[in-house]
Amino acid sequence: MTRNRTLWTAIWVVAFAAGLYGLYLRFTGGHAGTGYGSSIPWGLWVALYSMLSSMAAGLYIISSLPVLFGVKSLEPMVKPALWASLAALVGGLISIGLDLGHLFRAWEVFGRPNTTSVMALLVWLYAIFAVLLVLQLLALRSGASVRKYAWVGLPVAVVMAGAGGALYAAAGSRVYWHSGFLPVLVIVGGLLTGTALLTLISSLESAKVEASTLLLGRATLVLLVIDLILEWAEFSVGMYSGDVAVVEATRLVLFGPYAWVFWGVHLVAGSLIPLVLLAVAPQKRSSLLLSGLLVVGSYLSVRLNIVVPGLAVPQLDGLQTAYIEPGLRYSYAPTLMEWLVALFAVSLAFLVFDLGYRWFQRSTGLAKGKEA
Amino acid sequence: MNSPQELPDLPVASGDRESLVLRMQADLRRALAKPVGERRWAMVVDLRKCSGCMACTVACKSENGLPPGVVYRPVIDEEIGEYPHVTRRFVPRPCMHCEEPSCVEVCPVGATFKRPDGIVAIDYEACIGCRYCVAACPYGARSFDNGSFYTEGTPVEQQPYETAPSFEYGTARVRTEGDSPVGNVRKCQFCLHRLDAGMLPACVTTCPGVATYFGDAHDPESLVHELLGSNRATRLKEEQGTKPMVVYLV
Repeated sequence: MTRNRTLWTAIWVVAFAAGLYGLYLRFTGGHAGTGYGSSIPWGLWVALYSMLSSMAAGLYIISSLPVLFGVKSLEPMVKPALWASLAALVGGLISIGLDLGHLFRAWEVFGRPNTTSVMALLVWLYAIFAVLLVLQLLALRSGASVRKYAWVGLPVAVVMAGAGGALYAAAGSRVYWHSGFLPVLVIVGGLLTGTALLTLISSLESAKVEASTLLLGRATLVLLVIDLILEWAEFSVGMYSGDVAVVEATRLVLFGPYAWVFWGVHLVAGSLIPLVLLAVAPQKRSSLLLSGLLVVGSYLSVRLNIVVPGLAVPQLDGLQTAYIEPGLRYSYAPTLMEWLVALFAVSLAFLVFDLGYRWFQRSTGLAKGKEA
Repeated sequence: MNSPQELPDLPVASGDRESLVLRMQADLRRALAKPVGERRWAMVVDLRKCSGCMACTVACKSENGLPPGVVYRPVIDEEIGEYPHVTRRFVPRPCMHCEEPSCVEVCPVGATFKRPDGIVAIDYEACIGCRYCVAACPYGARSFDNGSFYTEGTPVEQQPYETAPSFEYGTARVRTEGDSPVGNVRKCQFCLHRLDAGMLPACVTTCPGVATYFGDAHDPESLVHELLGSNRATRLKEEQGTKPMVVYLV
């Protein structure tokens, strides 16, 4: 365990240092070094934010199951789930914050919110969710009941994840996104990544497979299947509709220059291998650990395949050649700086989880010791 | 095949370049004499007259000091038909200044808004640069200023035109990292700063064939009011329900 911890710490230090360099590039060079622009205005950072914020909601929903609905076997996972939720939220908000053209004006969303904007609604939801999460963690630490927080937090988390999908779906002019299905897909994605992350955490924490880990493994399997069915429905209905923009965007996902992201990263590494592992050896620690790692590690590809293809089809045919300049291209690949900044956001989320959870374990342990 | 003599006359807006521009300038003066809420700016583009020279695109770039990756008025080059029955059509695409703009609806801080005279404007000091409006615009009419310069990464040092101020929205702004308009979303504002000074938009005065008309749609005497009633008038993506104030004569 100590050797493992040293290895993980070493990996984290390298990732964080690289992330800091990315942050330096972001602040000294602004957005000029990014791959997105006027034609494709969103990229890796938006996809990462989308994944992490929905994962935060999913983790919270899972944490509320034992608290509100008496799912006893998940009780040991309440604390890590809440800490992981906070960490994912921090990572997601850092990612989207650095994506803003004017980060230091973000507070304007509280000062002058536009009530018709899904984005404004989301920002308010994140703030409410973060406050609830911190209050619940403090209550948990002091040994007080957390039910009242969970009763409020659960609907907030569901609406937050759904609104994270509605952010895209509400854009009526982007037909690839414009579907009532998308918010549901984002909620399910949040639950799936949250469950997979907890499977990974609980497999790492204990050398033997606990009842909670087994349940989480089964839940990951079921959610993976649901997620794939929803994705199939989304793609097949879109393709059958014959709508040119939807067909073109779906074609980009399935057969475009980055089709390997869908087939290789998402379908094979992130879905088929975990499915086989969880179906064939659901009680083996290694298969639970690897499945959790693969699902969480590959899920960014799903979000990228929502964000980018939806923007890569020109709003008017011919716009792609009307004026040719950097920033007006209808293709996107993240630059090294974008990857490094994303690494910063993820490694910071790891730090929040590790420090927070360990501090929490220590301080609640001490409190229990004192009580004894 | 029809000879040029057999083509039907253009129904409206005939006359030489000078008389058309002078008429639009007179329309503009009348509109400016009214309270701002009683004006409704509109643009009409005659696709039969547009030759695709892109002078409007270049004039707009120059007037607004637009950097790489920011273009307010590209011209779409369309090929229609199959050989030997082929033709080309050029469609300039400024901001449509929609009556029901989807960009205004999605802006989280209300930085993009509809003025009483119909112009969809951006408050550069409030825009957070989230680019949701860019994603939501059905016409791809919005650009993100990422802080690039044309001479960046070239052996040439920064040129004076790159540090010259732009006068969009009546404020002189020099592009510097961290300050608006860098980091903002930008778009055509019908050259509001020129209108306020009694001048037509740069694209209108530059067009050598007078294919673009501009004026007050609420003024029954104006040229654009006359053109908006043409049976050739059509709007882009009407199914979106955005009600553009830029109209094309096909």
